[in-house]
Amino acid sequence: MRRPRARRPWGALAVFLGPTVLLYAAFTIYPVLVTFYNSLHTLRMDLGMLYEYVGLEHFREILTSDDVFWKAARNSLVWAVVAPIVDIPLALVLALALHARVPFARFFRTVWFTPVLMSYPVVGVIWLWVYNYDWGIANLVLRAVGLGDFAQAWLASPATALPALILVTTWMFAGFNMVVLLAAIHAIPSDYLEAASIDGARAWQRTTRIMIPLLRPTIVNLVILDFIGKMKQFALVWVMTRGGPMWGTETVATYVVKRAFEWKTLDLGYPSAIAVIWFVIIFGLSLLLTRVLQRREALEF
Amino acid sequence: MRGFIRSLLLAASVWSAGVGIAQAVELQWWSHWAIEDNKKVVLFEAKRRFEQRNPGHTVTITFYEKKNMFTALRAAFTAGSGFPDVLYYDIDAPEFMQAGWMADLSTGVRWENVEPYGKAFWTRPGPGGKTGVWALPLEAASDELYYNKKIFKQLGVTVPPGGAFTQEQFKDLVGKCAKAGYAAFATGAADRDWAAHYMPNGMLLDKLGADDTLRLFRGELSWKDPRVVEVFQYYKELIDLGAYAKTLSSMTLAEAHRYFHTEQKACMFPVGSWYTGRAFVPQDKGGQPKDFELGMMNYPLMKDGKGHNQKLLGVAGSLGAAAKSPNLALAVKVVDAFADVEIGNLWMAKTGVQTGIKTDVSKIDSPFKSYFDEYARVNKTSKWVDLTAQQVRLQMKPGVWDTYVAAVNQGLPNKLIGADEALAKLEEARLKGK
Repeated sequence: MRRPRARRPWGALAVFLGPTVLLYAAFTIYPVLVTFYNSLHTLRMDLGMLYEYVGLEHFREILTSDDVFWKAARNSLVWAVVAPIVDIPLALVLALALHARVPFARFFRTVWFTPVLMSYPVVGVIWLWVYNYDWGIANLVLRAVGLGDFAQAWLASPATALPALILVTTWMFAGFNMVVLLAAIHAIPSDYLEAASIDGARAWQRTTRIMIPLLRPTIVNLVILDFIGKMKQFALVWVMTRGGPMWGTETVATYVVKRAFEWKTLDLGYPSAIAVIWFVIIFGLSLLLTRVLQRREALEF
Repeated sequence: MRGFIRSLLLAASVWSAGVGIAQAVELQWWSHWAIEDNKKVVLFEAKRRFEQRNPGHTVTITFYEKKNMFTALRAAFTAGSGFPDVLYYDIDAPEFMQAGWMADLSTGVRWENVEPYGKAFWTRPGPGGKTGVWALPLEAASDELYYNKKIFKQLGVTVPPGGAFTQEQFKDLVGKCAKAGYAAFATGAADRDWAAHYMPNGMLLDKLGADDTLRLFRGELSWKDPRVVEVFQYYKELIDLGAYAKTLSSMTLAEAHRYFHTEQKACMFPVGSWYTGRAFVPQDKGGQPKDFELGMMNYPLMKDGKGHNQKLLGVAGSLGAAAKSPNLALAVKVVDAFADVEIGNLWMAKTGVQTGIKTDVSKIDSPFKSYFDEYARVNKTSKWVDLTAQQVRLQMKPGVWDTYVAAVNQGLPNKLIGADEALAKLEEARLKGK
């Protein structure tokens, strides 16, 4: 005898999912669709604020003759590639140090995590002080140890400004990555490590041959998150350099905002096209990274 | 019958009270000048006068930092809600006029109390090319060159009677400043796109004269024009002598003021004459020290210059009303409260900054009298050109302006590029025509 099919509780689904779906549609799907629409149009203020269809003209211009876009893309990519390479190993070292119960571990855990709690504008202002040529602590330390010749206006040259900003995000997010990795380390069954110890594995071997391979899924996720976050970097640059000097710290996000709101045209067509291009690039690279870094057979424990 | 009449009267009084409550409006006014107490005094006086003349209606002023205010305004106007009735306005956001966000103030404001040049400045094409008057010119400013008299004395430098050094003398002066450990110019480009534009703008004007300077900025004259090349090469020589502090790119405008008058680390300060709005306040509010000896001079006289004695002057901070304000008539009355000679006098007396409102000099009682005299002396022969460093962007295409900021506000003064490279970038941007 066939059992009667359970009826879906549409009412409950609507009540519980409705608000979320509505909010998602209003604040994510609709703006994305409008951005795609705008990218194919241009605003004619001379015709009374009318949008005119221009097809792929914006895309052609961005890809073939917009030098600033390519500078911004290069800076964003450099940031997105360098940051995970620096951030994740540093966070791993910090997490391992806490796991090994270094003296004052609780104190250090709080100290290293604190920057995560600060907003970008606050962090930006703090580091503007740190990098100040006259009285910033970076140059004060250099002068104090007799390396005054190396003191410089860190944010005034394209050669040093981008690395200086990358260092800030490393400082800011090392604590977050550390906490995630520490949680993952705690989740590793102690049997594995004890068995390795009984087999004569030293601390270094236990770390590199057991812990790190077991942490791989967590590390991959952190790398991908870090990569995506840096590809979208905006607030810190806006507070500290506004993309200068000479576009040396311009990111795609800051360039989009400048084209959208600082070029005094109200035309969102061109910046929308940049946003679309960058969305596609981030989406594609994130997929690629996930494919390359994630193993098919997951290690289970 | 008597009961009926009593009820009718009661109902009528309740209704009229209700109408009264419904009509009492709290107008919202967003303003720049959050940290400029002298200007706030004038704003609050105009607010008081409006509220006195319009009983029941009130005005709430919310102070913002300008850049953030324009961002918030842009978002609110685009959304069609959340914008104020009255707003601070200046030429940093020209698109507001074309978008139809600003109310046309042609009527409702006592323009007879406003300087004609101020009204002319804001008489521009609006939405669909329709000409209107979009703001009331509260603040006017010229691009000046202030100097520290004490440092000049220490360096043995005397400003020529005409107020301007020759090109060679000026270079010598910059060299002397640098040798003595001072920056020649107190300039903070961290939060202003145009902070380091004053010197090159002033020298270009002197060399080319007003017409060709405007043609250059509009893209009608090449950046490779030999006269322009000459100015940029000379300017680069000044930079290489140590004209700017190494803190240029991390110094804000407010810090540049302190650098000049409190720390006294720079000989000169090229800046708008709105300098006084920040400097002529108590020292604990960021003002200049009482014993600071402020001098004024003119930009250097360039060899074979066509624009000797010409100087940039323009309307700056102004006041407008939102076109779509539900209380537009009242908002225009708030703006109109400023169109008054007494308000003009108060502005001059309190801030020491020029105004587009008419004034009666005989009635201005100001502690800044000696400053006004100095200003009059140095500008005795000035021929005003309707433009300021902040307004140059209006003349330029957005892409050229972007390049002008990158090359002249960042690259050149930070010694990241040379004059030729800066000019090549500007010419490339000009030819792109964006």
